[in-house]
Amino acid sequence: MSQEDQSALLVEVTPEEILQRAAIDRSTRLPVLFFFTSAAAWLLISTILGIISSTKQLAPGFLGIDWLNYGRSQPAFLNALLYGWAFQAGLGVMIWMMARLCRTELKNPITLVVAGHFWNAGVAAGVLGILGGYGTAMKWLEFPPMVWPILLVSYSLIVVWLVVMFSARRKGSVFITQWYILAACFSFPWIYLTANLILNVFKGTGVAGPAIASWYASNVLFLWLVPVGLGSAYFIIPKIVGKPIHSYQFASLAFWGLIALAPWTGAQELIGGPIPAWMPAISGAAQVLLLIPVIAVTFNHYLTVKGSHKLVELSPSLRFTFFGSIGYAVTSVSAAVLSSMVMARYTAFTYVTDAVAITGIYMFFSMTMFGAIYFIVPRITGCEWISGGRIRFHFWGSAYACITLAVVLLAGGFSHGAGTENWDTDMQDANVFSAGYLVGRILAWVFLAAANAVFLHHLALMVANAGRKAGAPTLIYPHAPYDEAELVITTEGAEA
Amino acid sequence: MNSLKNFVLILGTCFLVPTYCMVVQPFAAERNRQTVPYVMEDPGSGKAFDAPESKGLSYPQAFAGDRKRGEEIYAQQGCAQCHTQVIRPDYAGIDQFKKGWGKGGGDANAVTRQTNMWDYMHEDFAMIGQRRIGPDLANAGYRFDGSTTETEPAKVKAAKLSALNNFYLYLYAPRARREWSISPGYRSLFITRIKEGVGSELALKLPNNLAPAEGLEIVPSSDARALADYVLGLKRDQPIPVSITGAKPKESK
Repeated sequence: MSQEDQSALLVEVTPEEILQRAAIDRSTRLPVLFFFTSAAAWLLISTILGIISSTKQLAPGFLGIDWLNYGRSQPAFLNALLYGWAFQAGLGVMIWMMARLCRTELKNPITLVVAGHFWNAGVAAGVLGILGGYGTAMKWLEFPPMVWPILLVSYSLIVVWLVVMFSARRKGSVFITQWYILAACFSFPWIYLTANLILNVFKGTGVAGPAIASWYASNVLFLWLVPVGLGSAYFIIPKIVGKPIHSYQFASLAFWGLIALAPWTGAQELIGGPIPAWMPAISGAAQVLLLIPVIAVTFNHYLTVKGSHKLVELSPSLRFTFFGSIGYAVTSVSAAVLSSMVMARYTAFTYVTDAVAITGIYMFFSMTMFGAIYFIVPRITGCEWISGGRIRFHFWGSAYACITLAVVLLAGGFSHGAGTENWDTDMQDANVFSAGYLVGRILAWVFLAAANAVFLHHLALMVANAGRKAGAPTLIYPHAPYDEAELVITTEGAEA
Repeated sequence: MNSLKNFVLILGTCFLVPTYCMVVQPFAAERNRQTVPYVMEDPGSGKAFDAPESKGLSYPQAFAGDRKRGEEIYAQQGCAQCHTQVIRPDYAGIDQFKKGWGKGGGDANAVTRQTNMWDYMHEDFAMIGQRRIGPDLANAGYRFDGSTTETEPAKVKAAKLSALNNFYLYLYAPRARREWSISPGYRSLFITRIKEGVGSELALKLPNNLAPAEGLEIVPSSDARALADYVLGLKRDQPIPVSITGAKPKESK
């Protein structure tokens, strides 16, 4: 990868090029819209489950039915959010960006849609299975054991075409986003197959089991969500700002830093647990070292946007993506804090674990995906988003809720840990100390549910071809008071 | 670096090494773990020995009763979302000194020993747990085993039954025992049925506001009884064989 590779992204737009892009967009239309809409539907389902599970933690009698007990609604919520929303939104973005960057049309959209249906059926069976009382205790692998082959096969059937597209790419350089997407194509089958073979097929793992489940969860976060999210950010940010990435060398360094370090993380969750001491030590060290690529990425994004910060106010895609990029830094710092041995007594087994999961899946990944969806959908549907006001509501609802969740889960986690340290009150102090923060968590999920309902409705109208047919792209503020709005119009919207 | 082949090779290497170290090797180590017999006399020096009451036993002891089924229910009900089963050394938490978390029960001076790999070797998946919202259950068995100083068989049996009833009450209505509890009640693990004669000895003794109508009783289902077998079998404060610790265990009081 070299500096010149950037030409792949900021290629000069000729009439031919525009025709070709339109053809590519047409070819990806069906699968990408399929994944986006089913992802948004799962997002709404999971936020409602999120409201239920966080209320259950405060008032266990809420709704009063056993299949919504915290022990079931919490994993159902998290798995619906991860496999229902995050993976499908990510797949949609991967397909479109890979096709655009390889400048090849997607040859077999129907195969992808069929595989996508199997994926959805697998997730639905998994979520219902957890609620029905057939789940497992493995972190982020709580789906009943019969579900994983369905997910693995359908995922592989989807990404194999991305790899085929990459091999058939038009001669030319490769952009960093493509490497990130390729890494995500390979990493998920690898970690998912390994973890499931050992935990669900071979079994008898004893104390290695939770270490492997933690390894899997950490790897899903840093080897799947992070590559897809960053790949998308590396695409969206230069596109909208209209200038190349600040330092391509840094981007390359951050990529390989991530790939080399992330597979070692995970076991630090079990600091002091009955596993060999070298495991949490190595995992914790890798997690802290991961801050180096994080710094490289964050500064790279910041410096690329620098000077065009007014675009962040106007462009929905850039604003969501930029927020997501900050979320990436927050996720990594809280993950590093969690892996420190000094902190472990206050953070291990508390809500801090949830803070890392939620900042990672929501504040970073989901926000980046929203940015990409606001960018992609007008191009493949040929119409513009209906209202900037709805996008504004979606952004502020999500942003406030994400920040609230990060703060209350981190602070609540530390209070909980401090309460646990009282030797003679069993868990009473811990639960009393953290109760107030849990109220904040419920409110945040209510906000998210409202924001996501608006988003799903907006997206459904776009898919139903009810978007604005002509005119300038939809901005967050309709009458931009800035001259820079000109810049946005050239790069945002269906024609670009 | 613009070729797919090289990319996949480097990526594969980056994945393969950590997968071996962090996943395959620990898994193989646990699969090959053997129980350790207590030895009364060290064959070489004849010095080190385990406590005499452990004679002829191995550590840890195999599962008894319906514990395997109970382990499955523990996982399916999501108990591990909120309950840990791990006693960490003092650098990582206060676990060893929490009142009632070990064999010592309510004794404030009792120190619980930290859990080790052998403690979990009979489990398909060690329920270390994801969060610690409820009390740690690594040694929950001691809390509900109804140990008593009585020797009369009838009274010993009564004490055991009362402890077991306590456990079922926790499971059915946690707030009937501790009003600050945020644990859900597992109503679906219990059956309401018509009382026959004096009723079952396992029937829940509920406070008035929760009690069933006259002539009915609420009894644990077979799932709840399997779960009880599992939780009451969680006793990880047993002495460790000298051959593992390498040191003579402290004299027990």
